[in-house]
Amino acid sequence: MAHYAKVVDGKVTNVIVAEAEYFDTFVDDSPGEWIQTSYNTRGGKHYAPNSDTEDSGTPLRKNYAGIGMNYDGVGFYFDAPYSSWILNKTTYIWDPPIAYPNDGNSYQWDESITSWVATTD
Amino acid sequence: MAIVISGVNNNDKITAADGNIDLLSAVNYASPITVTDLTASNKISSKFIDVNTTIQLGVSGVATATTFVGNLTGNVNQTSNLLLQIAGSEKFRIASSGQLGIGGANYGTAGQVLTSGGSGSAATWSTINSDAINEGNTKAEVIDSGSDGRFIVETDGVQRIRVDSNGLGITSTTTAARNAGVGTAIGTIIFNSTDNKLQLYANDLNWRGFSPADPSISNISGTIYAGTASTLTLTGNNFMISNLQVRFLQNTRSVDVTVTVTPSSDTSASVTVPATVYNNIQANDVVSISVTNSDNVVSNTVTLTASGLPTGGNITTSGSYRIHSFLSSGTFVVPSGMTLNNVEYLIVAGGGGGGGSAQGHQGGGGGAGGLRTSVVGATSGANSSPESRVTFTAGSYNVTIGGGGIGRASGAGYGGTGTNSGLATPSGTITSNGGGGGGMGQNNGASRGGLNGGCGGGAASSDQSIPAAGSGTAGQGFLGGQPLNQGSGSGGSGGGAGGNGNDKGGSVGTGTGAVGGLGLSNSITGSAATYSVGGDCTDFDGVSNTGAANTGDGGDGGYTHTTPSGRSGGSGIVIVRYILS
Repeated sequence: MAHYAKVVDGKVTNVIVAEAEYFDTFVDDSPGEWIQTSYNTRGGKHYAPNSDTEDSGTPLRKNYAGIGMNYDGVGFYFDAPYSSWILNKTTYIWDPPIAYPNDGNSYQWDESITSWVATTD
Repeated sequence: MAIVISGVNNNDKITAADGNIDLLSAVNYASPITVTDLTASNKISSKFIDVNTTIQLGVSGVATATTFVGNLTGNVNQTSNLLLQIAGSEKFRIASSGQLGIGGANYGTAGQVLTSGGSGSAATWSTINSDAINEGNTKAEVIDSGSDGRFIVETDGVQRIRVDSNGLGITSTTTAARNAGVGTAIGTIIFNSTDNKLQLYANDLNWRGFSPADPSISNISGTIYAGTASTLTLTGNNFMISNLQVRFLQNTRSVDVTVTVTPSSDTSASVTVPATVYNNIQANDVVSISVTNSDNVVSNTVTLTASGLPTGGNITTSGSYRIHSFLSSGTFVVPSGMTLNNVEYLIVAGGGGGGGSAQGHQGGGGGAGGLRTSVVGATSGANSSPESRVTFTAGSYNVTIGGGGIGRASGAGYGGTGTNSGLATPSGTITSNGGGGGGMGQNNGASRGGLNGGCGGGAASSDQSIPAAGSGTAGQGFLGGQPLNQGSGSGGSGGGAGGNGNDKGGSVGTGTGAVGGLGLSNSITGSAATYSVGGDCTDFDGVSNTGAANTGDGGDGGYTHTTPSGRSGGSGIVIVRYILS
């Protein structure tokens, strides 16, 4: 069961479940195009359904599309959470310019200083 | 013994002394014996009386004016013709070989019959027609010309009865001729060619038919479908009470099927189109239908054009319902000429995705996809009454199946809102809204609240003020849940079509995550199934689920320590069902 995203000017406006042949007869006069997306693709990897375990499936367009996401012809991705973050061209997920500290503490991004700030868990 | 002879004038006597003269021998009378009365005690006994050539009894001749008393026995035995004459004129004779002569040696010819001449004329020999009796233009006749042997009766020059090798035939008469005919006797039988019936002139002086009843079909309601059973109602006459044979004929497909039904009345019968018919015909085939009643008389033929069936989705049946389940977007096509009334539907949108988790705060569960249904007796979204059923005329109707909203990774933001599902109808598209995404768990910042949708997304945990849950759509679903406390770590679950998302407070532990709002059970397929369940907040043990495909369930919200990413919502579904007429 495939999913298709309607992309208008690089923005996803709709996501439906459909098979390829549906578009042989489906009449959509509105601008944009329908691009197939994969429900089980996240971060450029394909996962087994309902798990975080990568499987042998072929990832498609980096991420499963959602309304409001962007499409650049390669993959689907959200808007940047912070202007300083960088779109990872492998995962199509925004990476902070500084990696999240892996010291067991909780941190929150502070764009004003473009760095992680420790918080109380 | 002494004989006394005595006499005086006119009184001469010979008498025996004892009263009996025992023997007179060789008496020769000189003149006729005249006796006043000849008597004997028993009889005159003699071997014969020889009276020479003439016997005259009585004054005028032989046996005239005389009555013979007792039986005249013995034979009239003549060696030549025996004649009967009147005044010397022969009137009748029996000839030596037994021939009968009339007025002499008139024996007629072989085959002739003796015909009375009435009181004034002699009988005559006459010849009769051997195979016909005629009088005027009325006759009875036997005819045998080879193998065409028959007996006919005609009156007024018209054949009325015919008996031949086929049986008894009664010549047809029109109603007009019947009514213009001679006075009719009760019990008269005719064949009325106007009414095509054998009729009897009954005691009530009316003509009553008793010919086999001719069935006729005046109308057939219902539709023959290529590919599925249906019921036809036949209206007409003389279906009688049992064993009505209904014949379906479609020459192109070599379909010739007869089924026997019991009519509901003399004028109505229902028949289920047999599988051997509907499985072997195609849309637009013309099917001829006739009936044969229990009098073994065949009706007229009525034709029906087979209809195609609605298409689209996965087609199943349950009871009388024909069901189209659309698991992916498609087209519901109602063929030309068809109208579907009272169509029931279930429209479930895609469920919202769960929010991601960060900094020890649960993401909110995704709201379930909005649910709308017109199934009679079912509950529509937000525990509302079912909507009105829909009439579909012929046409193609888009069916859109919304996808589930994307579950968001840790710190990435709201779960994605599910997308709408819709069913186009002649009066517009019926849309169920996608479930709202769950909020993102984090200490502070945006994206913590649940998103609005068919069912609202659950609000995430945070250290700041409790974020708002997403609202559901009226008639589709309930709002999401909220955390009960700031900084507890627990988030609210997604709203469901049958209940709010659950609020949660306190710290997160095993089995303590907020359970998603209730879904709704719906039996449109013939089996109960639950749709549009809100997404859970992932438990501390990390049990985290995406919404199942084609349920509209919301995706579970994430939890930092184990599965920080929220799960995607389940895709929606559209199901329609109807009963073919």
